[in-house]
Amino acid sequence: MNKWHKMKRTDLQKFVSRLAEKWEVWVPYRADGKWEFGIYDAMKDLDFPESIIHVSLKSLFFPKRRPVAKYEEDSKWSLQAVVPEDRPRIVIGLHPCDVAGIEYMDKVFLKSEHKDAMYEAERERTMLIGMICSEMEDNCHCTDRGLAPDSTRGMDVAFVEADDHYLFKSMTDRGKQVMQSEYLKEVDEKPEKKEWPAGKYAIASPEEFMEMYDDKIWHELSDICLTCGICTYACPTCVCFLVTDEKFKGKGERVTVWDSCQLQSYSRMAGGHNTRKTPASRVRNRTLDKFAYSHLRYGQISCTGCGRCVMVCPLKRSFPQLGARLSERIEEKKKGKAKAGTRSKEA
Amino acid sequence: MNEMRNKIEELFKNGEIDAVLGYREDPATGEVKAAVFKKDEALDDMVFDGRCVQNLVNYLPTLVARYRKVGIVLKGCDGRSLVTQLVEHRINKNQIVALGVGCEGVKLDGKEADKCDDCATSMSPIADYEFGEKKHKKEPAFSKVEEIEKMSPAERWKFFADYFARCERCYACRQICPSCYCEICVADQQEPKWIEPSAKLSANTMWHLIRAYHLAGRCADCGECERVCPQEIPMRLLNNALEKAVHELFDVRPGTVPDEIPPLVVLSKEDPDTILEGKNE
Amino acid sequence: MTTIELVPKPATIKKVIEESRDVKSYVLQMNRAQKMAARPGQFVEVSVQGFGEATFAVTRTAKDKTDFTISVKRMGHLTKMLHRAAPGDVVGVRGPYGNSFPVDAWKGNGIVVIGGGIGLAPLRPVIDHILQHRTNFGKLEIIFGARTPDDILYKEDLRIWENDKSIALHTTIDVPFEGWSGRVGVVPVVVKDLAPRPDNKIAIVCGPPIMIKFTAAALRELKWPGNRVYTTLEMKMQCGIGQCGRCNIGEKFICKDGPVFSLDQIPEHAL
Repeated sequence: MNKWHKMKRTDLQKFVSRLAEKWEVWVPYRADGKWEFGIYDAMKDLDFPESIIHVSLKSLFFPKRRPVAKYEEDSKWSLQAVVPEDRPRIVIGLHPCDVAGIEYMDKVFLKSEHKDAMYEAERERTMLIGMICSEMEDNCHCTDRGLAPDSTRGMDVAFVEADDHYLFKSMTDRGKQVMQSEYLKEVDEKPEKKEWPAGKYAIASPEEFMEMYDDKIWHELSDICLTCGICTYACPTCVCFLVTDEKFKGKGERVTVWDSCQLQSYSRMAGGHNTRKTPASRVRNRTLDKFAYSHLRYGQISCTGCGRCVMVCPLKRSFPQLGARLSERIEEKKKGKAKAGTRSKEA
Repeated sequence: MNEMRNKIEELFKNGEIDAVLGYREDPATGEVKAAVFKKDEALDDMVFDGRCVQNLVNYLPTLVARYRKVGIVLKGCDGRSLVTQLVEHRINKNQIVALGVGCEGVKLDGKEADKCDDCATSMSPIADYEFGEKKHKKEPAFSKVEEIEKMSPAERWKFFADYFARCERCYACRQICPSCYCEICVADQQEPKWIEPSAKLSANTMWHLIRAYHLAGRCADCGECERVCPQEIPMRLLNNALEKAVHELFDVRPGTVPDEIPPLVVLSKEDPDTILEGKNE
Repeated sequence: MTTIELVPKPATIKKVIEESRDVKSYVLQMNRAQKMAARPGQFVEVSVQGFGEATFAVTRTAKDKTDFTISVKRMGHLTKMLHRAAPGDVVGVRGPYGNSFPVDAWKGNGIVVIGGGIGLAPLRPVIDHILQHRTNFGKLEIIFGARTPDDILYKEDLRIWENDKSIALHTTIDVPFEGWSGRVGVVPVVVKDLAPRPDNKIAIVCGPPIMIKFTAAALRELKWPGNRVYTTLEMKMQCGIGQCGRCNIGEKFICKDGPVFSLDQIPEHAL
């Protein structure tokens, strides 16, 4: 029977240090109030925030700039594929929404006829020791996206803060590798089951969103949106990319770089034709992609309710509010339709 | 504030404007955001205080295309942005009603924004109506630029390279800047590919330096670029360094004088020609 | 050795054909004896080492699947580089990708091929297939429009099709041109004039976005149902494998769910 294991608060740093002797370990660090994952540094204080890590883990599996092939001589064809990294590593302290983001990326890159071998390698070499949230922050709304702050799905090991100690449990065979530790003692105790609030940014179904394509509301919603793309860079499931070739002094690389459907140049073709020229069309594309297209393609909406888009938006716009506003409009239209059935005319 | 609300209501009533760009306090969260107020909409949520950080001039081109005439609430720095937009004929004066408000500075992360230390105009230089007090113009400080100038070239490079390496090329700085409005940005051009799209140090450096040069003599120092950068790159230092040079050479601070054409856009007989004289400044 | 799909494989240019003033065709052969089994409508991603990559329909495949041809219109950065290439030069190729024209399901139907300019390139393999399996199909009508006589492609093929009694070929140019005594008129208008009927027929359309839009409208007016009109949308495809996100029309990716679509599979606004 797979039970929880107890670890004293004071032993956590030692546990992580021990892991760092064998593995490349990534933990959250805070700089100027912003949390971001970094490689474990024994000289820095180790702390695990109870809720959101501000910078997503996306770049650990899909870097902002990623060479896929290199060549050394430009006078002849000498392009060689890059050898993917295989050094085993562990990420400790990611939250359920982070794992959900990674699971979505799996759908894009792995459940494809042409698997992305480099992404696959990053996934294969990474053990996920996930942390169950102790609280939901202001912008968190994973419960409105079919997720839960205490979900352990997709984690190799799950841990949670409890009073003066931590509780750990392995979820997969890979996770078992780290459980044989002097700092972990099997116990009967289980984490406290919490009730999590929901309904902050409830949304309509993917099918209902699809019907909003021709609605005029997109102009209103994009009035104050610069389509700067910052939300796409912060979002754990925005993985649109550009394939580009770069060269310098006879050598070169083919790289993938992060791109954003919000930028004007995204859909512009040689010759100038641009299928998404207006900001409204780009806002519509992202919104429908997050709440509808992703579901139709992969059976899972790509919004994880992490709220990072709200944190980074320079205009303090709220993408979740946008989704909620659309959902309101969907309801309005449904009521309008219903009314039209019972009366001859409706204002 | 009430004075401004009343004026706006009046402007709506006599049909002079169809919408107003201002700041709204979200009753649910208490956050202040840029917002469009339409005719017949209550103005109770409209605010103006140190939380009104966004530069509203950005949204004017979209809004004047949709609504016939738009009112816009302007801080001093935003007003300087507006001057540039008008001088460059991006917007026509007859499409807007400028509502200048005397600004006492904005707060970022709880303290007064750096840009307010050097504020050239606390009241918009273009204002059809003025509300609040016009404060004295502050002399350009450029103190942060001078600190960098004291560093050796190697130190300066290290200082900026550390930041540029972090750049993700999200282009938020470009999107939020009212003066960055090229239909095809130099960074998006393919023939020639002036700047590589990938987020590596060399290409990121090119991006930031080229953008700073394209803004030289036109940057109102609204500070939005720095505020929105997810990597907290202090790019205002680059803009301020160039504005310091422009100030020294041409005695101009962009956007402070309505109708003044940006100095690097026009060649005039009074331009200093130290280059021709063989002096290095 | 892990295969990274985004890394192209080398192919050598066997032959360069000057089709028109800004279109050249390249007959390619994969270097490492790999076959190129492209079905009609599929595309490849072709790169010039260090310069970038672009999408090209495979416009012809050799019977033994060794040689294959792409037609390149000089439009921008990469196509300019390609136009400098000569036989013997090596380019990178990925693919074939995408779906294909469901030619097997069309057996017994007459086919109306409507191509505008370089849009004829992805349609030509359908014509090849029909001519190789002539008895499987009914009447073959080809409507090809070019901007000017200097923009007419595939002159060799046009000669062959002209002389084939089982093909009704209509070539047109957009506006009157000195020395041209043939038909004049943009493709959508020519389609209206010729008024092909949909009974037991399939129409396939490809060309500049605006031409597809108006031709589709013309066919709709002629009562062609959406499931009898096919098009191939080559719009801003980049990775070609449904991952970079760019080429989507709603939830469909042009590179994966297309580029071949029947009109009833795509919303009107997509054209």
